[in-house]
Amino acid sequence: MALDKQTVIEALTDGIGVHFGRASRRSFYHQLDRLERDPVFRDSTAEEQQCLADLLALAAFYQCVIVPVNSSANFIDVLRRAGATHLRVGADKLDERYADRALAVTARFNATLRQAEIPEKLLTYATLNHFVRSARHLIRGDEE
Amino acid sequence: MSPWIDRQVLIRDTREFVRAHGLFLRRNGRRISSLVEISVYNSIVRYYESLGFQLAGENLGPKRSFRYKLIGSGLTENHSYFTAKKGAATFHILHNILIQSAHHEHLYFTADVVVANQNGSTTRRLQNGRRHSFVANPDLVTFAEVKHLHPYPGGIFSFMGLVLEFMPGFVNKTYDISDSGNQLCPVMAFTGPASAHAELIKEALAERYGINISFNTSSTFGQLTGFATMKKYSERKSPSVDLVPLRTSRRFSFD
Repeated sequence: MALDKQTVIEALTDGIGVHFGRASRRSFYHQLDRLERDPVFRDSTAEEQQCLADLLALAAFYQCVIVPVNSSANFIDVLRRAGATHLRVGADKLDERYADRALAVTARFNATLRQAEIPEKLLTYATLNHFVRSARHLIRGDEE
Repeated sequence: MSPWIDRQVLIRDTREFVRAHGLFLRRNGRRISSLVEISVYNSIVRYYESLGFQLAGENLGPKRSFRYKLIGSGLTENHSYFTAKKGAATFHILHNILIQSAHHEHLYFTADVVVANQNGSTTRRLQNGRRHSFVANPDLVTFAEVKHLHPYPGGIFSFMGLVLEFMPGFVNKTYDISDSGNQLCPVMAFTGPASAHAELIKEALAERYGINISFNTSSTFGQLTGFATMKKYSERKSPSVDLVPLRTSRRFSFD
């Protein structure tokens, strides 16, 4: 079974625009290149490898899209405490309404993760080594 | 072996997610780098808040908007920033502003986040008639660089060049780095997770110099964390090198 490197990252990035899309895809393919050289990955079954690659796509999207969107919403909270009502970034006005939408995006994505029983922490791995070992452990369940 | 993801369901769910929120992401995607910088700016602002400083938004725009500065050019007075005050101490927490070299008074670099002392930024008129704002080197408390990338050796070593040019005291150890201080040493933050090699470079450099390198800020929603273990200093005793005066008649400002 050949590794399908496209379907999940395309599902995640088709329709989110060039900026977020490009950042997510670049991050994913960069990490995938390293993942394919990892001994634990190479030692995994084809099904496990597919699962690891899909999780890596989710992690790239999470890090490149969900994280900055969520933290910009948090910044609105800091601004309010300092007497400002909204953030202006160039021509864009980021206000409470924006923060609510941003938090809704995060909540919906986290719900998708929960549905698939993917721990959020797995997507924010410290190093690729940690990721591949934690992910394969989860995939194998109690067998390891 | 039982993969716990039903791949087809996952793909269907992600497509539904994009259908529901794609418009919002398309509209805000062009600000991705700014959003990442804002996260780190936010962290540093919150760091001062955690030390008991009172925060105030300065230069707020119409309807009390916080006007985020996107590029290095532009005057401080036209953009918003935070001040942190506690007793007699005041710090200006600025973003995307020029900082002046420690070695030459007309060499500048735009740092993503800059903390300045009570003097804040300086605005001067250049010989070409244009004005520019910058933080004079003696007023520089610390700076942070943010990269929305995976850590890579070139990026980390380049940061050392910036420290050497703008705050060389952290390289030649003329600043007093002590546990009692609460001013952060210069910070380099990468959003992406590190390779083993990048981790090794970070450890080796941090052992030798007064710097903070932070990886994988994505894992903390873009925030810098671990301030308790970051390198700090108590006071900047004196400029570590004498500024070289300008020798030519032509002056430049850099973005």
